[in-house]
Amino acid sequence: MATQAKAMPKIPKFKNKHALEAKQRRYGYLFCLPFIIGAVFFVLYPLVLSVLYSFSDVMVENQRGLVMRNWGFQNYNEIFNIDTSFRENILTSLKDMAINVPVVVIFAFFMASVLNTKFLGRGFARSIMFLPVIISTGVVISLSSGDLAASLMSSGDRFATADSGDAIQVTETFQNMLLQMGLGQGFTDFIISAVGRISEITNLSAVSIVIFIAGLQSISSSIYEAAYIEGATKWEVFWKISLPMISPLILLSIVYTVVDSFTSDSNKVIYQIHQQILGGVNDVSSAMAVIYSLIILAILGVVFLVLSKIVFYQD
Amino acid sequence: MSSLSKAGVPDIPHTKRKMDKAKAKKYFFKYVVSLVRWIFILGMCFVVLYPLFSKIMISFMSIEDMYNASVHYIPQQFTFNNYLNAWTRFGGWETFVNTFILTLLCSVLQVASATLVGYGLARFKFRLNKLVFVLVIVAMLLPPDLLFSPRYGIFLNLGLSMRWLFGEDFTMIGDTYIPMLAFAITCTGLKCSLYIFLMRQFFRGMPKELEEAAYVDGAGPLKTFIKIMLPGAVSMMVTVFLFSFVWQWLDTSYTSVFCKNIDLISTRFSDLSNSWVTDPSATTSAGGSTALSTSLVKNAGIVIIIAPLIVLYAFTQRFFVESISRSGLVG
Repeated sequence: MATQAKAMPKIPKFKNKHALEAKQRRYGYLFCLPFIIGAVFFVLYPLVLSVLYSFSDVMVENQRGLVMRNWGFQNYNEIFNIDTSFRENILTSLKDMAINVPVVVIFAFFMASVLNTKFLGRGFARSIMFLPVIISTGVVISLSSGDLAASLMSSGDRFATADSGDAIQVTETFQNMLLQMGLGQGFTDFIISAVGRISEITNLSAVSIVIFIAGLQSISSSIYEAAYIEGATKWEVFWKISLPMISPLILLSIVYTVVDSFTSDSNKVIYQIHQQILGGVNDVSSAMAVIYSLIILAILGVVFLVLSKIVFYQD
Repeated sequence: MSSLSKAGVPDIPHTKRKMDKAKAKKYFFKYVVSLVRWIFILGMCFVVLYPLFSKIMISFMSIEDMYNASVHYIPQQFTFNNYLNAWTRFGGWETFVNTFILTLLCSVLQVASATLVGYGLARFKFRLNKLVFVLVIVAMLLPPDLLFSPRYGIFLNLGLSMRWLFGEDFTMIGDTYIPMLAFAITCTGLKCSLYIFLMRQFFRGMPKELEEAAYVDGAGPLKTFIKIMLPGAVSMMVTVFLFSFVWQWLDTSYTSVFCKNIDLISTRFSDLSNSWVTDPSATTSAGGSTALSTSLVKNAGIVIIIAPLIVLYAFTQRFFVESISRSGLVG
């Protein structure tokens, strides 16, 4: 025993086999500490409180702050049976989401594919396409909507009467054409409203374009080379390489767009909830927010379940 | 080879011609594609830039220009009045400085904490790693308004319980930046989860060998992080800073709840546009409608709000584009 210890004096240093792992664990907690504290105090605890608020009457008292009283379902009763505007707003936001998400994702993917090819002024075009992230979020978008001067600038009664008349006629002709093709009223309305939202769509898809460009660039070029050497056409390469490789990002983009369209300030439900909070009504707004979050989570769950079967992961 | 030799000499120019034709077709196709692409991109750029362009142009117009049908986009009676008007409605420099301080503090803190947390999640194995990441995603998915009332309550009660320290009139919520800064430090504020996610993906994309080399050379995790990983992550940090600054600058949802008594550009402006006070000087000058003159001022206000952001974007877009290509987003 003694000779062995003499021969290898360094053994005690490695006594703790898991020293590195323990260190890793410690530093992991250290680095994540800000968010762990935040998650406990500003996410989980408020989450519980919010559910509690929704089942009670919340009042602000002068010395005691927020207090809860009168437990029961009265808030839920109010938002479902007494005030119907909440239900209507939820339906509107669901409808908006159903139109926006597929169009945004397809458009963003298409834009990213175009911006990923080599052409003169690509950097410039890219920086312009990312500009909506800056110029149309938050207060700007709520102020820009229905701006009188801007609509006057482009309206029919001020000048260019013929032009705008033509534009309306073109839309009508297009709509009739689609209807005559037997595509059905629903599909035609979808197309028309998607075309009418072009500006909104470009604004919403900026982040998705970023996601897709990042994804397209992360596909290694050797895969493409191998495919072209084997005689694949561009069409096949798109369907058999680009699309499967990027499918996880399509999922990410869909989830992001769904969340974005549900939680942006311009969403009607969010606006309603926010106005209630600003008005000091914390209990009804909590009930609305709880129901709304449940709906969002349910939709995201369905999207995730359906799409995760299609998505291809390389490793 | 055999068919070629059988056909003999005359066939060779024929095949050559055929090849030329194919080449020409290929080039023609290529040019058509690039032309179509150019037209498409120009169109898309137009869709993005047009609203900005029209806002800038309208903001310089006087009310006479609005009634003048010959004025298309170039104002005939160039005026700065809209800007002066909007500036006084904001509350001038005081509001601007308030907004700037809050936004800068928040975004710097958010970038710092998102970088730390993102690195921790990307590179360290610990038992709660998965759980913390799930929490990040959950915080991203939940609508922020769900948490507003309880958070408001927490800070209200905290402020009340601190009155013995700061005096009888002390209210933490609405009067101080403390709630906003607390959210920023703990990375639970406006879209913070997205920043953590981006930083995590970025650090995961960085080669592990870098850190291993540093560890072998005897650097601890902290030193490795500061000396090796941070310099490599500058582009992503700048991108997150850009996002965070822009979104905080334009945000009305958090600030209208947690800083409602502080004058900030975004909240001031959205309040004013909701219940726009009629300004006598604007109406009498042209005898025109108030709605139109407020709309002109609104356009000027939007340009004032956006201008600092455009400048910031112009300086940081290089990092932005770089970080995208290296963001390591693979789902």
